[in-house]
Amino acid sequence: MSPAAAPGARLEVRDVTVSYGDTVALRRVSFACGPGELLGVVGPNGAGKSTLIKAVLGLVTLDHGTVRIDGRDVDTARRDVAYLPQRSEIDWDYPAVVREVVAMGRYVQRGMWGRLRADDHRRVDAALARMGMTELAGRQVGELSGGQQQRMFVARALAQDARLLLLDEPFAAIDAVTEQLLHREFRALADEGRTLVVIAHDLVDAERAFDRVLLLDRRVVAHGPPATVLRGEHLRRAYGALPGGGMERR
Amino acid sequence: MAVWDAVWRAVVAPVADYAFMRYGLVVAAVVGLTSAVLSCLLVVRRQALLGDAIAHAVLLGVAVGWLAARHVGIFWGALAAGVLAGLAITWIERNSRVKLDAAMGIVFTFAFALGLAIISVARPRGIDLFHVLLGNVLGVDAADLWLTVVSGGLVLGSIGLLWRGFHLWSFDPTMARAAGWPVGVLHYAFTAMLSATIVASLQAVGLILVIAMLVTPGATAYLLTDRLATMMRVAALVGLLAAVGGLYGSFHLDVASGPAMVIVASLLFFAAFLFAPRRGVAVRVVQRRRRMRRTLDEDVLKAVYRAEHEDGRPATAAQVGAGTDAGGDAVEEGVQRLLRSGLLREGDGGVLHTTDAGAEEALRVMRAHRLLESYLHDAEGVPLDQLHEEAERMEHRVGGEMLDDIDRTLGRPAVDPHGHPIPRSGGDLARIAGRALADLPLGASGRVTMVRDDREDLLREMLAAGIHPDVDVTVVGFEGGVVRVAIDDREAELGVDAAERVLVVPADAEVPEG
Repeated sequence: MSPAAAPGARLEVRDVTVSYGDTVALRRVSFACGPGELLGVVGPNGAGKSTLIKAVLGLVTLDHGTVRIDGRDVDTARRDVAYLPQRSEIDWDYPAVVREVVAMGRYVQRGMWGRLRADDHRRVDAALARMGMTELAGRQVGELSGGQQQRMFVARALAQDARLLLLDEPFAAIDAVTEQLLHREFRALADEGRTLVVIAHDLVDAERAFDRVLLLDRRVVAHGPPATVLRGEHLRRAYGALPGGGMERR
Repeated sequence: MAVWDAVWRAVVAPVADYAFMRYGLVVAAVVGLTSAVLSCLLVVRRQALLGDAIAHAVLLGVAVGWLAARHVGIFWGALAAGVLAGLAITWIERNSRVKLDAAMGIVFTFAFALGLAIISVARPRGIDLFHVLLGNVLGVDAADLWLTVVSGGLVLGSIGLLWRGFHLWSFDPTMARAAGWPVGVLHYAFTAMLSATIVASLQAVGLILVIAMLVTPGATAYLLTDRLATMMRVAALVGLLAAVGGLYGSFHLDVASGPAMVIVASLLFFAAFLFAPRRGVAVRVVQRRRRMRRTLDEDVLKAVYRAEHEDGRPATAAQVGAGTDAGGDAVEEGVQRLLRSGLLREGDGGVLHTTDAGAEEALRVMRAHRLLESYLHDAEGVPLDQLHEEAERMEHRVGGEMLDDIDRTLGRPAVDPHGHPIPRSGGDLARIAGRALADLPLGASGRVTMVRDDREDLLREMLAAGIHPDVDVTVVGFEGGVVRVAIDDREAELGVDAAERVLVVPADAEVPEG
């Protein structure tokens, strides 16, 4: 994490295949995205969206292919990568307050044993302030609204000074207004040069909210600007039918 | 002096007189502290049953260890059995479709059964099954003492060292892995710490009840705090109290030490369960009742004020009761409370008046209600006939600061969407000009200034007829309890009850009072 590094990282996924036992979760997936890009990943349930994020994080073994972050191996780039979990994966009764969770972003930089210094605390405060959460810093995490919980994770990624942000379904179970506000935050992060990969489920929003879209169904069905990706033939290939027709394939 | 003597005899003398009490005290304290701190991790990781499983599996280690190397063997055998049971559980879970709970059930009962079988066949003289199962803290010797202190220190030290790892791994395991942290090491360290604590606790609580010391203090602290670090400190205190309290209980009442400690810990848990600030069950009940009572009182106060100042007909308690949703008895109680606290006073014939303080309070609630209606209507687009109920619920909860914000945001409206005047902050209630539509002469016309919202059905009727503030109406007929009015170029009918609740400023003239 040299200070001179660009605020965003270039992610290159080349020919990646991942399988669980006999089931192939991802087959020869290739794509790239660069600094300042807001990439939406869409696809039906079981399309391998979460597996793709895990592959980028280096949490699953690749049968084949490579993941490069600014040309580096995942293992050496971990400090630059932030993972924002799906809210349903978190135990919201967990005894932690907002500031503690945001400070976890600094843990990634300091390691499991390194002490947090004054500078780390300043960055935590700055991240809280930027997300408008300074006054919520002492709240137990379960006392936040869904949108605030998601913003807390964004603040954690900011505190980490992450250059590549991977967001797993940030819009799940969130109301429309909050969703718009989050979209705006993500846009702002991309505008300052960070790279964002966002798993989304709403195709209508995907059309407007992302620079580029990756349509996934265990393989890449289409990748490019939303207008060209989210077309009938592609969606039929990915979903087996046009979504909204009530015929989504399992 | 007598009290001091009693304390001396009960608390100090046993320790001063008996070496086994001194040993027991140290062991109990260390065990209580260590298992309590560890229990926090078990509770937040939802792995309480893993502790139970390992505890039972330890019996196999005790039996085999004794056969292999007598006293020294017991400790190492038990430790090994605990760690192996943890590994076996994980292994079965990962390599079959059997889930974690079933895997634990299989492994710990098997190890426990095998341990029992070995003990009953070999009948080792050094193992008193009763003591292994239920604890015998007063039978601790110097060797046990050192073992307990050293393993307790190691466990606490490891938690301190690996603290950040445990914290992140417990809260967000995927992030911990993504950061490249050795979660495998954390997992095995956790299992080893659990086994060591259980083995060290055998003397004090026995293996059947050790799970209580590994769950109850943490669960108690969980109800009292919002941060893991604080939770561990509180749990340590609970564990310490339970262990030491149990030790004295065991000494004086001749109860097995394990049950005594667990009973104290459980009592502490129930105290927290009932009385924890914010989360305690009893505390929440009291708070809810207080809130309901306050809601009722505010509603009564408001009704009395409106009857006197808006309708010009002061109401009795019974009339107020008839006008609210709450039962008459509850309203009567509320009236009595308000009379006692000097917010209401009773006039001739049981008629109620607000005192100055009471009026101020009533205006505050009315201001909240009407500002909220304005906000819900203007900002949220809630239709006129649904405002009242929503505002009625919210008016008791919204603070003054927020109301001022709403007021400012809406541009300090003078009236709410129904045309009711909004009291100024701390000020008086403006009078709305106009007279009841029902009282207007035939042919009179004017502009609607207010539609009273105290009866929802009538409000609906008015709105359905197209009558709301700022509409111009002309009275064109009266027929059998129905008022016919012309609005623009159409006509509508309104029942008298509804027409009495519509305030109109006649177009022609100087404004008569309504």
